[in-house]
Amino acid sequence: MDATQLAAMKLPCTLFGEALLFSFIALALSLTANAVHPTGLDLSRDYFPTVLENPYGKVSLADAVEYSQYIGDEVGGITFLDARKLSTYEAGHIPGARTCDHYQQEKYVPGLLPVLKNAAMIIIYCNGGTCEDSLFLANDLIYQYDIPHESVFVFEEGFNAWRAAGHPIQKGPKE
Amino acid sequence: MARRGASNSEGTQGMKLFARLYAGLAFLLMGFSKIGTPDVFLKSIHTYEILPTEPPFWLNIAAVGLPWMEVLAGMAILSGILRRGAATVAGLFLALFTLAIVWRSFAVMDTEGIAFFDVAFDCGCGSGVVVIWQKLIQNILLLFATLLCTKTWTASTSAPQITRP
Repeated sequence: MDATQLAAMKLPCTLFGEALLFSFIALALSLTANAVHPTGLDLSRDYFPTVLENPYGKVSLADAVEYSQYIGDEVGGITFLDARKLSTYEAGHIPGARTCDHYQQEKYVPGLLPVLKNAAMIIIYCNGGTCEDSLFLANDLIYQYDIPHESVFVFEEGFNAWRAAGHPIQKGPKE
Repeated sequence: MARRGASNSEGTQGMKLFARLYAGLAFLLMGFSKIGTPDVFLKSIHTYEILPTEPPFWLNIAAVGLPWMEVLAGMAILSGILRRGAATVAGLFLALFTLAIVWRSFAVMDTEGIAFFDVAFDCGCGSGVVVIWQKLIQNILLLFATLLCTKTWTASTSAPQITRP
């Protein structure tokens, strides 16, 4: 076996080794970055739970407009939850709605639990259309946080329909 | 003959340098546009349905790891450190996602009843909603450039050869 053949055999091994080393470094760096990133992902969490049935109710745009006039934290009150990202929420949301980003729900839900447990209606929305974050949040509230399913509702038409209909919008930081 | 050889070699050198700059910068830009919003990228790759959601670990690790892999690949290709390995890994993922984009384009054509050249959606590439045929051309060019970066650039191929008369 001459030097050329040896070199030809060595080449794929070196390439594979380089690729392996590179992958290892990239994985280590990404895991470290994710651990310290404020909006890092929980690697074990199912962000897209399978909604086998519809355990929550639905509200239409007309209903959402009516219910939004009775938003309150008192026992038996109505709470609106915005399942979108905080930055999107701050850019404009239904007046009185609370932010509860589905992907960061572990930061928001524990603090909201006293209100959510006492609410007669929890109306959850995201952008509408193909957005499913409100459905996932509703699912998680029922199955992970034991919120009674009778009080959980999804406003499927979402914020885009609300805005398109010309209803008032509140801007600013989270409540 | 010697002059033509030197000219060819210079042309090859120029193409390699261009490929390296193009691939390196493209991966850097694509990676940086996704790093800050792992949840957005997670949603994007979930829509492709190419990774299992059960257990969720694989989908989540892809959303966390791929943007960093792109940034590191860009840096490696530009700096030359682990260039071939980085280009190989980045090229494999690029090829995989390009195929996934094609697959999803067919699904969009089917559901919306539109022609291929009218298909546009957010491919999760960090650039928002894009016209897909244009994105595919970009990806193929990038794939070609990445492929060039996986080659061994030895002194005999990278330096102009001197031929004695």
